[in-house]
Amino acid sequence: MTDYTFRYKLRVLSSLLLFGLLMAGCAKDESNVCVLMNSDFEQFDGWVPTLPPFLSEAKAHSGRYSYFVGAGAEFAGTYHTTLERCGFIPSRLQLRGWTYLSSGLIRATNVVVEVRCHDRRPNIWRALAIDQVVRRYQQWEPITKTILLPSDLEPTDEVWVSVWCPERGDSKYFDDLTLEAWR
Amino acid sequence: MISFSSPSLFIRRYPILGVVALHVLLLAALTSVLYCFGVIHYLPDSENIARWDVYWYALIRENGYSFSTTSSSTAAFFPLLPYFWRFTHLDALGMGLLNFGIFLAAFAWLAHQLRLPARWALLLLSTPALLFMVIPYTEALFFLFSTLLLMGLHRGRLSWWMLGLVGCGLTRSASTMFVPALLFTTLLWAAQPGQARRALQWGGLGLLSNGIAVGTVMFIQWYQMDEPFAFYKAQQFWGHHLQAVHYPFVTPSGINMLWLDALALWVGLASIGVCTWLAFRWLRRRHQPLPAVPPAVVFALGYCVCITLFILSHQGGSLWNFGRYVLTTPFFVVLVWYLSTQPAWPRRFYVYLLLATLALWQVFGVYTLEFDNFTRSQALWYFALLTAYLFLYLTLRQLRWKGEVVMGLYVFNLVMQLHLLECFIQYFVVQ
Repeated sequence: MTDYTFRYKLRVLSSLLLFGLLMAGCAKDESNVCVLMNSDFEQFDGWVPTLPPFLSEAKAHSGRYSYFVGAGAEFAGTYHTTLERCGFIPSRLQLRGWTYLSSGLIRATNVVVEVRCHDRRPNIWRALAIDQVVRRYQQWEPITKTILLPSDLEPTDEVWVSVWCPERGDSKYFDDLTLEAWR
Repeated sequence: MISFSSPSLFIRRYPILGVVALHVLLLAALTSVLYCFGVIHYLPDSENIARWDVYWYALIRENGYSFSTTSSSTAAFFPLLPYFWRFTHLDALGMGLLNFGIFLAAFAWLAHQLRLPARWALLLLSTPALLFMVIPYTEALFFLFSTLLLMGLHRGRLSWWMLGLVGCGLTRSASTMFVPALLFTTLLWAAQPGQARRALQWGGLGLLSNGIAVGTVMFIQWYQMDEPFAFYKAQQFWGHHLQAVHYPFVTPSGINMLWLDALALWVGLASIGVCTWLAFRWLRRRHQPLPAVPPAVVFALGYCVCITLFILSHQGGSLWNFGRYVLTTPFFVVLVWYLSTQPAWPRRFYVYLLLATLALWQVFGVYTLEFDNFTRSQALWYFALLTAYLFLYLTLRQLRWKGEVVMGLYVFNLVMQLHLLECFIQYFVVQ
């Protein structure tokens, strides 16, 4: 009986160990990830006499400011960097952040991630259609998009992030945006 | 002359009327309860129901047609609904209610002709996409005339068939897709022993009816705008032009309509599979007798195939309106009815179907993190629920707890129908 209990405990322990190992395998390896953008929109405060027009104090997921596209506007600010920032050529990008939509009348609203490849190959243009995936309004909602990348990118290729509202609907806010590049 | 000594005798003869009345009662009860408890916040009225395409129909009703070579215009819409609306002198809500009445009457007639069991009738009446039946859209008239043409085929009434084709042709541009369906139906029908002459006669008169309808629309548009092909030329401003398919598939209607568009895609691809199999059997008809599929079912399959091919070739990977074009038609009702009459399928057949269905969901990027705003586990859960929903319909005739399952699906569907209607009347995108 004792032997059985011991064997049983051993089995449970080894199962837990195996599970732990598997979970460790799933954990994020920091060397495989590089942050291309991490913006809570607080960094402008105090540095420039006039804040950029795409910042708003009306809503914020963290801190005081958020990125704002007003009612009837098509574009706001654009973020720009290069893949050089990472020490490797990523195989995918992951955009994450928070959005606050004032109503269901926001119409077509795209968070656009573009990789410009200087005519060496076709640019990569991907959009997260916020109006299609967020169905709760007047509250902060998480957003995420994964973009699979081809293998022939180069460090000098540029990454542009913007919000494009072709139908110029109701106002919307974004905050705590991050763009991670994965090896 | 038929006389009924009491209402109960009448109901016994036409039990479907009792089912439709029960549905209306349950729908009214659920709507009033959800509204009273604040679960839904808006009910349709003349202003809030006049959204989206209602604007265009109202324009035609008031001013007739106009055509622009540079932007969207009323020319893309067919004339029967707006002129019928003008004739009734009703406001938007009145027209919506009339549409709902037309739909209920057509559905009752269809279900009566098909001898559709009460459970199936209730389930089909609750299809979430049927919210468009209470809006001044063409869905109700299209349902009425499509029912007429299908029942013409089913009951062998040539006049119903022709009238249905003319009515559909005047109601909606989708009827231009009847031609391949009609040819395919004629081909298969003519291959049945002793049916060649009849099939060719029906096929020819069907083409003639379709031609009359399209010709009438062209004449009206030429008369008003000097452009007989205006309805065709205006399509490009609604994003309908020949283009490559983009992956992953999306729907601008959003996550709460995507599952219905995905189901329509499933129905469309299943129809393509069945039609391919029928075509193959037609080619081998000298070696093996052709399966005796009723012409109404073949036509319904043909319609779904044409709509699927059109959407895949003209919307570039967007399933915009797919659910509306498939699930709100009597073609879908006929397909579900035919499925309900089939003998039980073996378990392995369901396993193959399940595997094919799970593979299909990858067109939405489910397994490769391309289903936007969802983690992989969330996406898998979304499509697992959708698969379960689909397979409840597919296996229903073989399930032990049919009544319970139908009741669950019915209530869920009605809640979805009311949710989508509320989205529509708030001017959110649902189509």
